[in-house]
Amino acid sequence: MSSGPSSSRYMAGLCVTALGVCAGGWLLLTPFAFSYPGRGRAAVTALATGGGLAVVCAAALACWAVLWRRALRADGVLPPRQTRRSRRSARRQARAERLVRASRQRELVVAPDPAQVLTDLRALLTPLLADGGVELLPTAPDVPATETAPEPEPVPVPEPRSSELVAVAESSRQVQAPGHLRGTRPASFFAEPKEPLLRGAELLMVGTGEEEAW
Amino acid sequence: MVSRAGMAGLAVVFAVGGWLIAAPFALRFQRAGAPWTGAARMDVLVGGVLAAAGFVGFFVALGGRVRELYARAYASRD
Repeated sequence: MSSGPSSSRYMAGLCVTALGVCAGGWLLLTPFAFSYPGRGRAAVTALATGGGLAVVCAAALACWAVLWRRALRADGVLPPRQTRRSRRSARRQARAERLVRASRQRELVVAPDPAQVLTDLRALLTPLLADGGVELLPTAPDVPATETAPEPEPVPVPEPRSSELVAVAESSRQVQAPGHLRGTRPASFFAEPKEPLLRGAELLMVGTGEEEAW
Repeated sequence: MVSRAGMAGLAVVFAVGGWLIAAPFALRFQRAGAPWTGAARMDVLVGGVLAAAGFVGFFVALGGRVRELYARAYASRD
């Protein structure tokens, strides 16, 4: 927008206003430096004009400096201005990143070896399975089939309905919560509620007799 | 707003220069035909420098502003 030759505009403004400040200071000093007659018109003119000029030129100098800084910032020469809020936000972001990095490292350090986990699990489960009469690997029966005792009548077990099975499976399934880096929630937590959420509030209002008030 | 204030500052520099040139004669501490006093000479000298600088600076700044406006208009048209 303001790249290249148009910076001469700001330079000209800065130079002229700086010259004005210097000239104002000089005019303030001349009555004393050249010993003008005290309270004479020349001295009063020099003092008043010099003082006013210095103040006005200092304000204009500040304006040109602000304008040039804005132009440089718009052109990307200067970094964008950091407000207190953005500084605070950057600090929070850095702190959060530090925490995430630290927690990741801790997980990596503490994460157990999968092979070791499997070995430990097998050592735990093998006695339990052996006590229950279940073998890890199916083996061929040694006894011939003709000598086996007749099997008892199987007791009919009521099979759960498929919808109940699906509900149980869904409620036990753990899913990652959206927007969370860690932690899981049951899938039913994110499922569409069967009844509207406002139903409870409506019942409450009717029950307390405040429906008309609402 | 800030741009206008900066331009106004340049205009004030030019006006003060003009005033300093005219002040010795307007306030009659330099009589016509009399030898020039030190105060009058100083005021006219400083006023002349300020008026020239203010004039040049004002029009340089104005030209830069107009160039910026043209560049912005061309950029928005393309």
